[in-house]
Amino acid sequence: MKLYIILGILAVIIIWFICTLNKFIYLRRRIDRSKSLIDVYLKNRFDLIPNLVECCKGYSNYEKNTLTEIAKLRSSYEKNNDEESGEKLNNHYKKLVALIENYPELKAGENFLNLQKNLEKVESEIAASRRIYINDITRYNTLTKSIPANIIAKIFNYEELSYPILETEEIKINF
Amino acid sequence: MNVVTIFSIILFGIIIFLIIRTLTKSFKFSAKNNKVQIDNNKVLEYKNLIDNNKSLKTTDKIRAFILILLLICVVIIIIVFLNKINPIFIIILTVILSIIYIVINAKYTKDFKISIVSEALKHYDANLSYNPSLGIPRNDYIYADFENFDRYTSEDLISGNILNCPFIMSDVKTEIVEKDNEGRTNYITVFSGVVAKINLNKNINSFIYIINNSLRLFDGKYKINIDNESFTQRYDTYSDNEVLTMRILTPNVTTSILDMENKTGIKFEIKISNDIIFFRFYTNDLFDAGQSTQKSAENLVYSIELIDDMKNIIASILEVLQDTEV
Repeated sequence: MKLYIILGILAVIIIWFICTLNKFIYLRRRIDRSKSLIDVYLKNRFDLIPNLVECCKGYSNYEKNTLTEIAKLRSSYEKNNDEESGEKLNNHYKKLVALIENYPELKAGENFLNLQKNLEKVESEIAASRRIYINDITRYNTLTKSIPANIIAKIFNYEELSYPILETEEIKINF
Repeated sequence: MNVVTIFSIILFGIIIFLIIRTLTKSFKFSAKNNKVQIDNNKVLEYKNLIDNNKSLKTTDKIRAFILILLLICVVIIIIVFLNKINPIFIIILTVILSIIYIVINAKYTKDFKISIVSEALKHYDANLSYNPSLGIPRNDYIYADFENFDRYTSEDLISGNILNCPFIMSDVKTEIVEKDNEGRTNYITVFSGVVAKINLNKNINSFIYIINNSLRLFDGKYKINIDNESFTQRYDTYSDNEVLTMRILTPNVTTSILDMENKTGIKFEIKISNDIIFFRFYTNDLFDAGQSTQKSAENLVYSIELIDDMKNIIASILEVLQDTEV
């Protein structure tokens, strides 16, 4: 009888162990997936930059430097695809969005209105994917800290993760 | 025991059942939904509306009078039994009174629905109209794909526009037909409650299904974790497009959904399929006449507040949809 009880307890522990470990694996995969989702939408954001630059060209003679700089940064980002160039491009993109506010005649153009819709969509998608990513990290971090799942986290080196970088922040399109 | 005694016992049971059923029906809303905070000023407003309808008031008085007579008959039946007197006369009287009561009560309910509910709805929103004999078309309900069923009934249709979107809402009952081992047909109710359908002006080309998690036993496919803890504690969300769901279920939308449950105490489901939103409420029939003017007025306020809360959710969803391209 005692043997059966011990075997039963062992079976429960093994099942719990496997389930918790699978949960860790699942959450880590989800985090990777949601991170790549953000990358996809960020790429969409940057893909709209040439159109945005094209729209601004005729109006913003004073900001030619900004436009040239953005064009350079975008090609650099496409080449390297690293975090640093992404962040730089993002900062310039924010500047460009802010600049457009100064050109009411630009905002009235049909091309620009279409572009504005696309920009709004992509910003909303970035915001949503960012929420998914943060949510996944929160769930994962909660599991790493909770007892007794933290034992498995320690054994298999599932460490707490930090929250996303600024690059993914939503930019308000209020032209 | 002779036939008259057996018949008297059965009749006595039926009358007691009828009285209890009638009384509990009028208290259903307050008993089941004890969280409902009903605005007394609004109740008074609708009470006046009912009181001003002379024909309805007369029917209500007759109904109350017959109910009292029925109660007296029950007491007499008990006395007759105890004294071993032949109860045939009182039984016949009780049967006649019961039939009259049922007929008058049906008339009251019908009159209440036709005259008072339509007026109350117009008072709330001039765009809305009411037809007690119509319901949500069967095909519309099938499109929502809530469950499989064999029999479908729907009545008490409210139609019109809410926030410039075509809107219909009605009581719905679905049943499945089963045959037992002896070949008898049984009708099993799958859903009984209120369903609303709103046509959006945008197609999301996807589905989003929000269901109170107490209504669901197992997690289904496409489950999505929403980043609002109080929301996920009470609701499960399913969709084939996670990003779109997160875009639509903003903190504003999830809060308005939680607010509705907190306010009404009703369990409900929301399903967005392409360009249509369906709401399904697990509640009693709306706009039912109560056993008293007070109860009828409370039911009216309750039903209209349910529409109003639903309107808030639709408004917050529409706000998101109108702001961005889907």
